[in-house]
Amino acid sequence: MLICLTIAFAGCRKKEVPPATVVSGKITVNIDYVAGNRPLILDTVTFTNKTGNIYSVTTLHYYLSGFRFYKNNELQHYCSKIAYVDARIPGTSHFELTELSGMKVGTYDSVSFYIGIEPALNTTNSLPASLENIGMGWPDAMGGGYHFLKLEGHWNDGGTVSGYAMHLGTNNYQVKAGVACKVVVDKVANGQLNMTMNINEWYTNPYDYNFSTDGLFSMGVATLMQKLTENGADVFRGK
Amino acid sequence: MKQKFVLTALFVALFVLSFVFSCKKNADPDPVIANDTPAALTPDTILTPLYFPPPIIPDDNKPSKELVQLGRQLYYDPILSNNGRSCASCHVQSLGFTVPGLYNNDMPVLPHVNLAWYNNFMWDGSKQGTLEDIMMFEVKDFFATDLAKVNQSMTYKLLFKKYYGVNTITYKELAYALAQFIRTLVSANTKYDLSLKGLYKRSPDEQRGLEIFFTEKGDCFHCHVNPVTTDNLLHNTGLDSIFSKESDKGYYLISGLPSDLGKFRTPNLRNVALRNRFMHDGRFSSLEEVIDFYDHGMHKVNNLDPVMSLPAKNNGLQLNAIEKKQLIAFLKTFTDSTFISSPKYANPY
Repeated sequence: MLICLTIAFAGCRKKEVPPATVVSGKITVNIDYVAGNRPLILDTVTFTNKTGNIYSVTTLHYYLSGFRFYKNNELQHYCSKIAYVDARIPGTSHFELTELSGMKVGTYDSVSFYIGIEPALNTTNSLPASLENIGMGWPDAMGGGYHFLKLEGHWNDGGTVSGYAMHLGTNNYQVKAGVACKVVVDKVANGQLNMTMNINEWYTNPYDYNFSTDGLFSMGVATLMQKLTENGADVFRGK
Repeated sequence: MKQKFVLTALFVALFVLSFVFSCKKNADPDPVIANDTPAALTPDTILTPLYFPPPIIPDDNKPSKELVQLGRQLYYDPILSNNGRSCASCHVQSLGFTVPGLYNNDMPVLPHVNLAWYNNFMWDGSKQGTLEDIMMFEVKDFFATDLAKVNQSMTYKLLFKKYYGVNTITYKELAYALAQFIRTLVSANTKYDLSLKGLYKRSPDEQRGLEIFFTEKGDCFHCHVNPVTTDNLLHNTGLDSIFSKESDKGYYLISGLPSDLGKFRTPNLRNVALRNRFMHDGRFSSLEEVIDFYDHGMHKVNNLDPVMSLPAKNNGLQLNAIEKKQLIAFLKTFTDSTFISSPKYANPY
């Protein structure tokens, strides 16, 4: 009898139940914006970056794509979503990841993604055309594909107000960003990924970017796009 | 017996009276048509140029062949105005649905082309929404259409009854019918469109002009986005540093915000080479003048659009004479000879 019970218990222990996977649902991504420690208010020349430039943001358009969820630095799930965000249209900063088939139920501790379009998909006219992102094409004459980022505004240029336009595109300048976070995913995937973009981070770490000495217009300027690409890796913080 | 006679007489009288009234009704020159069910409409599609987004079509005004034709009739009919003019008076097909010169000595007429992809209208962006919304403005405010006059037209009365099921034509039906036709005014057969399909090989000058247009050399593409050639947005491109005329203030007149001073809608470049007045006030009369302005004439004002900061900062685009000609050669590839001659857009009368 004892032997039988022992065998039975041992059998139970051996029989591992596979981790549950998401059956349906979504992970909601919520993004808000700050500049330094202040909430971003568009069109106001009141924010200061690390080099002392006082600036505003008039346009903040960007793509996010290739979401990868990690646990203990191990990739657990890839989500092919491509999201277009226009900070002036609040709804676009809140979107859903629904490509969750096979995702394991559990808690994820970090997420990575591209600020831009994943390299394999970044070709001219590869995305469905829409009026919302009508201005995001990156001309074929300059490499094709899409603008990953349009960050534009004005700044106080020694007493006069000037414009700046930080644009990123082409696969050489993909921003690989990520956040440490806690995303809890249950069987019906009601997870949330909450992030904050700090505009000031585009202008520092590792490179301090100064409008006055670096330049006002990054598109097509390899050195400026490289700086922005590397600075962009940590513009997001998880919440 | 007498009482019975009186009742019978009353009944007969009522019977006769009802005939008299019904005869009167039939004699009405403006009959109420009994059937309120609109005729079945034949669905139509909006031609969409390669790589364009889907056109904006409200659910309550899906394209149909019959309504497009009705809109076309209205477009060319001076009945909408009180001064003998029609939409087509200022929007001439052979000129790309605009006219030379200035309207009211004040501004060039924006062309009716590819408006199915617009969500704001007028130079100063003062009208936003769908084509139906802007057409409502046109009939109600711009033309101040006399609805009584339209309703006296038996032709329109019957057509609107047939297709919209209404006994009385209102501004809404007029606007919706006009929107049906104007939404079909699609330019999709320029050399530029054909080249996208591999059906046209650009000349060397056109090709070099394209490279100027679509690179930082000319930096036209940030506002004249590919392939629609307008981003549907408003920009201050440094036309003025002093806003002496009210009409130069642009979207500021709508929003009241200083940051909107001098902001105007990006115009569509389809058939741009057919025009002879450019900018919101027609201050330039040739493409050469326009290019010269962007090359070295911009005013560096506080709310200059950030994408204009490159030409403004570095002393202009610094295009040479050959490059300017090449850019114009490319702009001419947006001329659509099919669009300006197609019988389906022509005056039906």
